[in-house]
Amino acid sequence: MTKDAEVSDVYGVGALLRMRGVDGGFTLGWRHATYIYPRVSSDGAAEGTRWTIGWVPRHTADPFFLAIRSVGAEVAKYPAELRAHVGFRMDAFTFAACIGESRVVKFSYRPSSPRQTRLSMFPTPHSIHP
Amino acid sequence: MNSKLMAALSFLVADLLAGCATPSHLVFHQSTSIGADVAANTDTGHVHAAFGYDRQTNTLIPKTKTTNDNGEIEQEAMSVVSASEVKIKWLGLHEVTEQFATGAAARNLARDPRAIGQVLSLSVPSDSAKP
Repeated sequence: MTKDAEVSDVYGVGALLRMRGVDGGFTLGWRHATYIYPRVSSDGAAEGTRWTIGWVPRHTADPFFLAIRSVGAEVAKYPAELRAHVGFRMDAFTFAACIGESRVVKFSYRPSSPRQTRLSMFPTPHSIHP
Repeated sequence: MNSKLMAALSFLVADLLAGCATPSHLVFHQSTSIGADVAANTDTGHVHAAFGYDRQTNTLIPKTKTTNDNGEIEQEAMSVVSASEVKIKWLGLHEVTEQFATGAAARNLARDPRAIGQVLSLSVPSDSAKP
């Protein structure tokens, strides 16, 4: 967690079923997904890193940014498309704004340095998704 | 097959089909695939199939309702001004830097070339920056 973003890396191997979310679907193989959420500064949460094994804490909002790498077979629903693939695949989605929404955003992210993730929005978000 | 598994798969298929709707978000998308890949756009019905190596950069822009000079309601692509830099290294994401304005903010920026220049001038945090 950084001062203005929450970065969540989820690693999975085997049969992975995602029942909801922006990347709902089924994967057979290896998968690494990175979810980045805008952080509301007044939430009081401390900056730092937390690890969990076997489960992923559910976030109340959908992510602002989503990056996925997978090897194997996958059927999934991504924004405005249904997709099936076998092999390697990498996707990066930025959910910039809701329809008609007025917003100015500056975002930077390096997977090798997640603590340097920066996400500034004006107006500040409570949730980018309705 | 286990009835619980069947129920879960049925729910998943129903949930997937529920996603077939007009896009409600502005989305920037980068992808790389190696292997067999098939995708169906739930908005346009367009089907894309690729075998081997495929690389795509897309922006999904929803349409908003506007009123023309004659008072008629029209559908127009959502306003956006954006600059993106995505670095890929060995098929993995190395760095993403994006700066953009949407909606009324984008329209206001479009009237001021200096302001657009500021939005489009990407800045990347340095390695020495404290976390």
